[in-house]
Amino acid sequence: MQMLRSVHDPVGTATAVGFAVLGVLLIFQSQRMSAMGSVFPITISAAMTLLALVLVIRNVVLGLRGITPKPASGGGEGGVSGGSNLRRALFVALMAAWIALLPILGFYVASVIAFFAIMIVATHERLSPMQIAILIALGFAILTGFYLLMANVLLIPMPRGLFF
Amino acid sequence: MSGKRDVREEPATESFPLPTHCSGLPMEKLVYLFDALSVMNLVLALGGVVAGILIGALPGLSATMAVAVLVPFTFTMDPASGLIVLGAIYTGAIYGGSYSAILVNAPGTPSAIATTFDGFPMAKRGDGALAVSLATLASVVGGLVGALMLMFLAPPLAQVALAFGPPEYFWLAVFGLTLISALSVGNLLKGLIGACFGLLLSMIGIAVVGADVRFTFGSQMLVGGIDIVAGLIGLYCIPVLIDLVATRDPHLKVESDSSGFRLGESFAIVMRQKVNMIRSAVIGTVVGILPGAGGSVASLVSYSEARRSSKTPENFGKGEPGGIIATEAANNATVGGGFIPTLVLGIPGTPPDAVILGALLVQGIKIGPQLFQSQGSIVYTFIFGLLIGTLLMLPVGLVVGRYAYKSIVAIPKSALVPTIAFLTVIGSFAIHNNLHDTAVMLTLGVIGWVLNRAGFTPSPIVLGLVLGQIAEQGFVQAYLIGNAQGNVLGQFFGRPISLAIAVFAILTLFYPLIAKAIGAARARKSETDTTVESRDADA
Repeated sequence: MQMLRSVHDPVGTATAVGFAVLGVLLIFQSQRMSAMGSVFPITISAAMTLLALVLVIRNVVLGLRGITPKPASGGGEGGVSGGSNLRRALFVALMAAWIALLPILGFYVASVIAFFAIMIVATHERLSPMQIAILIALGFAILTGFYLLMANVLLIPMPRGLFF
Repeated sequence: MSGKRDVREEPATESFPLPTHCSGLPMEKLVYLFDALSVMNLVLALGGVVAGILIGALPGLSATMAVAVLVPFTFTMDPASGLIVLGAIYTGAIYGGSYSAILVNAPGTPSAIATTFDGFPMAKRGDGALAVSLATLASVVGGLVGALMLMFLAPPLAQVALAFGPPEYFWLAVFGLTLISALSVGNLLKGLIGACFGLLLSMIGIAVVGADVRFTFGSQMLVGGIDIVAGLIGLYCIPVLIDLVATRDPHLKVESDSSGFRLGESFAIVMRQKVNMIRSAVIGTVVGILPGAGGSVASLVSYSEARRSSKTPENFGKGEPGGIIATEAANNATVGGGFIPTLVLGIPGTPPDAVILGALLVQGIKIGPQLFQSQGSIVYTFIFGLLIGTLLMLPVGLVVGRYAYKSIVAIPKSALVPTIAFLTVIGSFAIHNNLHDTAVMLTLGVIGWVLNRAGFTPSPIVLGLVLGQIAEQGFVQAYLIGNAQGNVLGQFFGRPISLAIAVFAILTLFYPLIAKAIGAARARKSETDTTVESRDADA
């Protein structure tokens, strides 16, 4: 544990170990394929494993020298740090439940339930009854409008379950 | 509508009609211009552009879908009018993809992937209106360049499609992948690992050569592979939503000086970036000609070139206007470029071109090198219609874009998050009317968020996913051909076009190092000169 703490960029290093393991696993998987089907996967898996190991070694060496990681650069791609992890987990769980319920309840009904549940998770301030009414009306307008566009204009067969 | 017109049959030349076509028949072309300017054609072009923009702006709804849905309606129109509607929808949809890329970091179409690199950072810092205006101007110029090249240079440019074989496609994909060096400033290793991961994701399912079932781990869901659009929505949009629910902060900053479209500022930037814009439009047209390459490859290659030739490459990926201009000029130029092999050779350059090719055949139009002579009235009226549709994109795009930006800024987070989440679900489902794509979208989104936390940004993964199939198919086919000829290396390095692309790819990849070395050498030289001058002065 102490060793892990002393590693430069521990999260990145642990992920690189994961990539190296995945690369080895995929190389073994590729052995069962035909020569033509396996040449590219083996090459790329080997490259990923090699690069991941280089990253791990680099981070261990930098950690031993006591060099701390620089803040991430590269513009707009860095995620937001801080905030509520509970809300994040709830959002992901609701999205998964939404997709699971689509064939059971039908597209529209499942979407209404999930839409308003996510709305609650995304709301950080107390809302007046008027604001709540506006948000509910807006939600139904968006859901109904897009559903009708998909089902009746673009003629996409929407999933049907117990309802529609 | 002008009603059904007789197709003007003109004597076809026996040889390849390059000289006649290039020299052109100005007066006759003017007649076609007036045909295209009929009230009905203008209304159809306007309607097509608006419909295309709205459909393209929704992630998951592609230009192909928009064109395919509306093809049956065009059968009741005369051929030129029908083609004008389809062309306007197509060009509008490619442009519309930039809205969601800029405003919610979700490319509406794969062509707009590179628009997210600088568009979203600009919107986040409060320059969303400027980004939308730049995207509009660049899209219009790119579209015009593509359409003009279609009008004046179609037959010779169609030969480019025939000159591109598997090794050229392979090197083109590698050229696109060199963008990783630009997108991973500060940690190239992580960028390369992410790209490998994306390439491996692109191999899931049935192999393009050999038909092996790969990396499905026994899951039926993965046999069809990972759809690029589902991957894009997941990797770009879901991480933004996960972070959006966690804090009170607004999605985008509001401009302190909300001065409308910021057109003056946009024109000034576009004028400064005119070389970048024209070069990107030409790249877009040429890549559009290549069957299967399309707007995503064109925009990535142009972005890479724009960054390589920029005086401030370090600003790319952080909200550099030149990045948006390169991407949007290139992807809209692919519309005109894609029509070149479609009309001249009967080989569709992009998926929407394939749908339009079907519509042309139903209308009884004979595709081929003689088309511009034998059915010039339809072809030229259509090309003028495409030019008019592209010009109409300017006012329509600015108004819709401004409205979209204001709506995204004004809408409370409580409504914005579930609305974008709904669009991700409906958009990923609509790709193949399949919930598996929706599940893949969410899974990739969560993986993308976790990897982003560890410093593995989504763009290299997306690059690998988008370019993987093109790279693999090109590599394996070139290897097979080279092996059969007993000259594998000659396949990859012995053909002039593939060699040129390979050199550009290597230059782009190592450009930061080369530029650094040149800068250091210049600094040393000027230092030496100063020392010598001071010694001379002392003497």
